[in-house]
Amino acid sequence: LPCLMIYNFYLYNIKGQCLYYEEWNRRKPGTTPVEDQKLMFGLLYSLRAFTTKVSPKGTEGFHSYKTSKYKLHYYETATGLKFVLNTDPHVGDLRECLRILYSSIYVEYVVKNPLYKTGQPITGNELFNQNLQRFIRSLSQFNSQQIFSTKKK
Amino acid sequence: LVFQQDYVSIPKLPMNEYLRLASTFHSMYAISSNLSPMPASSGIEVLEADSFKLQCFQTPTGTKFFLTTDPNHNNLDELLRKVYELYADYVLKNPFYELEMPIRCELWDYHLERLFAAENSK
Repeated sequence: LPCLMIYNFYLYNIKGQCLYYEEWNRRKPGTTPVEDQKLMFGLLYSLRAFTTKVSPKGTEGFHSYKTSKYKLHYYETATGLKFVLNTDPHVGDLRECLRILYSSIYVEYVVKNPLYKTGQPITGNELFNQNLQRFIRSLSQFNSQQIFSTKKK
Repeated sequence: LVFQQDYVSIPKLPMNEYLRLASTFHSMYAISSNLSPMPASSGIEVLEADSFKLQCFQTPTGTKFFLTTDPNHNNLDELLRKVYELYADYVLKNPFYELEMPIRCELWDYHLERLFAAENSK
């Protein structure tokens, strides 16, 4: 079964602050984490504006982009929370997975945490960390089966 | 930006907008390559959104062709390569065409129109 590589993950609040960043496989480091996160947010902002302008219906709805070496998946909630996941380029659509990440992990372990103040960076939240790790690991196994079946067609 | 054309009826933006969009895309292309978690990444080759799909093809000389289509289109890669062939045949080989200038070549327009009409009627 082909291996699905997941590279890194960013979570931003509506103001563009990076609330959480994790990497599992990153061979090319950014300059510094802060610069890297700011650059990523800047790119997302331009992508959304670009998508709105180019769209024949004038709607936004940027989903993903692919380069020769990675694919960036993007999911934004109604509250302006932005989930970004970078994977290898041969992956299908992971937005549903990002939506699940939001509703089953972020909402469960961050929002429902009485010590957490909305909009703040997520630090010291073991349950969130662990569940995120587990979710990402399960994605690698689940999705590689999905890719295999689409390739068969 | 040396050429821009719509092949279906969508609201037409002023030329300045297209110029701005093209240079925005050009910088996003560069940044996406910089931000790559893996070394030696190209820039954005495919961009997917709700209502459209954008495919970009960069030649070894840095010329970029990009195509926007409905989200269900596949094989845009092949199509862009054909466009590149048409570009080489009807633009570059045209003795009156100056590099970097806006393209005003009838045969280019004609063949491009035919290519996309064929594609759109599929």
